[in-house]
Order: sequence, then structure tokens, then C-alpha cells
Amino acid sequence: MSDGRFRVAVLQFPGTNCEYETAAVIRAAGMDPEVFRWNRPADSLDVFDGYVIPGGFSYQDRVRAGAIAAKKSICSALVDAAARGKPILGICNGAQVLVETGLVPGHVPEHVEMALAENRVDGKAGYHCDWVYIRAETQPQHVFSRRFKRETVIPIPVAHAEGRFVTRDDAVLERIAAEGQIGFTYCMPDGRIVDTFPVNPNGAQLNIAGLYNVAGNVLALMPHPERGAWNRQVPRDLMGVREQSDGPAAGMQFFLSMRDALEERRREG
Amino acid sequence: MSRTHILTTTLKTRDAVAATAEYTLVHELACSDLRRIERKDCWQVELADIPGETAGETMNRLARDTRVFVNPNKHVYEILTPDSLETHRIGPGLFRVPVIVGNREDRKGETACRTLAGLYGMGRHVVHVASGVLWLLDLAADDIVVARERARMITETRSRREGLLANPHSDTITVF
Repeated sequence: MSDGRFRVAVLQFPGTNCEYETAAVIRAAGMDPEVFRWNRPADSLDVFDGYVIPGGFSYQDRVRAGAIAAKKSICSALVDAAARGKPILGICNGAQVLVETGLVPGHVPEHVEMALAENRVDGKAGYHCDWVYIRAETQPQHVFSRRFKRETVIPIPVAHAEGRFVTRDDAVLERIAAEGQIGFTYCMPDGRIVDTFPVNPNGAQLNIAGLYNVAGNVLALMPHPERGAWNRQVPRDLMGVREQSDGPAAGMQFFLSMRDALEERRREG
Repeated sequence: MSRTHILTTTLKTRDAVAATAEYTLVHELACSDLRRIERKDCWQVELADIPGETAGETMNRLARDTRVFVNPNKHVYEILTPDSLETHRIGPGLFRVPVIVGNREDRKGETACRTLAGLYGMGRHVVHVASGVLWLLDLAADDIVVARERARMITETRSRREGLLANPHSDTITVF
């Protein structure tokens, strides 16, 4: 903390491109963000209370999205921080890094149990950018979902070419469901789960839009909450937006939830 | 009767992806037996026999006369048969291992096949197209079996500290 505010590191790899707007939302949520370059000493990450890996194209998506960043020593420090219960949010490319790091779903430490594969939708391929709806599948351990009642429907933007949560191991999917690790699912405006495009924009298994680790302190989220954090960012015709104003929108709630969780950690010592 | 041929394309400039992969494997994952990596985009094209034309001629026609695989401004291409891809010794205790990483749901290959049929009228001749990346891994090893095993280990991402070039949940791996 600095001046009572929680310090949040916003990790910046070469090719990251959402760090400053993500930092702005973290600041608006009452926390103290710092853009943290990947080549600083990894052990200097330890002073932060929480971490966000923002969107972009780390290392130009070389080899595959998130693969190179996941091998860097800075991600070893993240693995340690996750084990100590600190909150970590990966948005879009950040989600790809978390999956390649093995932090999500995280059944076997550091093992890569899933992929965020190329979008797979009949009749459509490649990069997809649009507003979608996701449904909060809130569980008590879900750190970034505390401000969402279970089955709350949220309008939120997606922008990715490799966003399809997929595993070839059925046991992983079964455990994800059993442990309540699914944080957010793509859905219709009324909350119904439909697994076809455009409701499910990438063909993700189980319509997964956001996936937690077992402990619930690490979230890999493909949509961009920082792009839907204020009402003025949300298109008028989407559900839940009655008028455009400068007030906070659903995307802000992810970061307010993070602050709530940090305050709880502080109270519990 | 159909047979698969391989068309590879290589950038005329230095391949930054290969350089990054090599750096990561050697310096982050401590693969000290890896000497060099080369990377090529790879198209496995299944061709039906065309009367009066050899398969090599057809492949050259696909490479030169369509803009599906090769952009002559930035690529050089090469045509191979699957038989020509095999691990071989390139020096004392040094082997070159070809590995093709494909996509389990190969939308790129499907699109190429559809384009060749629709735009170029080659639907009867091009039976199937699979896209992928051909990695050529130069590895120090005692023998060919060890070299191939190491290539698989280097390719298949099992954990954050093991493997890089393919995620087995989304990719296929063929070690030759």
C-alpha cells in the first residue's frame, strides 16, 4: 500500500497495448497502479498487493499468443504471488499468458492444461471484435466477481483471434466444473447459455469467457472490462444502460471487487 | 489416386519468430543441446493425379500462379515430398530434426482448399490442404533416437518450464 491505497502492478511486456487504460480504471477503483516493465528484477514485484496482465500482443504473439511471456522470470514471481493468495487478473492477452503459465486452471502446478486456441466458429475465422454478454457464475472464492450477484448478465467487449478455452483432457473440464472455476460464461442478453456464434464468439468449451484457478484468486478473462468500465463506453442499445453518463459500468466492478478482496486480506492480516 | 506434397515458404528477411523461439528455449528453458532453429510455413497439399502434368508441376503452379501460399515479395518457396522429411545427421553428434506443428482444427487449411476450388477452379485436383509450421531443430545428441525424443520434448508444451513450440490442447505434433 501507498498512502493507504493498494498497489497494483500492471505488467507490460513488449507488445502489450492496454496498460494505460487498465491503469486508469484501477486508479478510478481506488487503487494505486504502476506499469511494471517485464525486464525489471522479478523480485521487485513482491511489494505489490495485486497484479493485472493487460491485453495486447506480448512478443507479437510469436510462436503463439502468451507463450513467450509465460516463460519469463517475471511469471515465476507471479506463480509465487498466486500461491500466497494475491489477486491476479489476466485480460485477453493476459489471460493467454496465465493459461500458458499454468496458473489457470492450475490443477497441477505450472502444468499447461488448456489452450486459448484460435477462434472456431462456422463460417467465420480470425480476429473478432464486438460487444457480447457474459454471465457471472459467482462463487464465494471468486475474487474479481464479488460485486456481481450470481447470474448477473454483463455487456462487455471482446477483441481477439485466439480466445477459445479448450482442453483435450475431459478430466480437466470435469474438475473445472466440480471446483466451480468458471467465472463467466458467454450468454444471451437474458442469461441463457447458447453455444453458437455470435453468443459464443469463439467456440469456447462450456462457453467459458473467464476461468479462475481453484483458489479463486487468479482469473483469466478474455473480454476487456477496462473498455466497459464507464457508462459512456457502453453502447446505448445494450442491456442495463438506460442513459449515457460518466458513472461506472459493469467493467468497473471487476476492479472494485479486487479492492474489496484486498481490503479483506488486510483485515485478516 | 492422390498423394500429399509439401509446400514450404520462408521469409526473405530474418525470421524473428524463429529467433525468439531459439532464444527462449536456450536461455529461459536451458535447452543447451539446441544449436539452431529454422522455421517455415508449411502447407501439406493432397493432390489427385492430373493427366499430362506431374505433381511437381502442379505444386509449382499452385505456388506461382495463385496467391494462396506464396507472396513473391516476401517469400521464397520450396516443394518437398513427405519422404524427404526425416531426421538426419548434419555433423559429428549433431542432428537436424524436422517437426511439423499443425492445428487440431485447421481453419487456415480449409480456407486455402476452398479458395483453390472456388477462385482457381482446382476443386477436382486439390483434395485436402493442411496448414502448419515446419520447425527444423539442430540438436546435439548421441544418436538419432535421442535427437527425435529431445525434439518432441522441446516442441510439446507440458508445463511452463517444459516445451514451447506447440500447445497439445490446440496443436498436433509430427516428429519426422
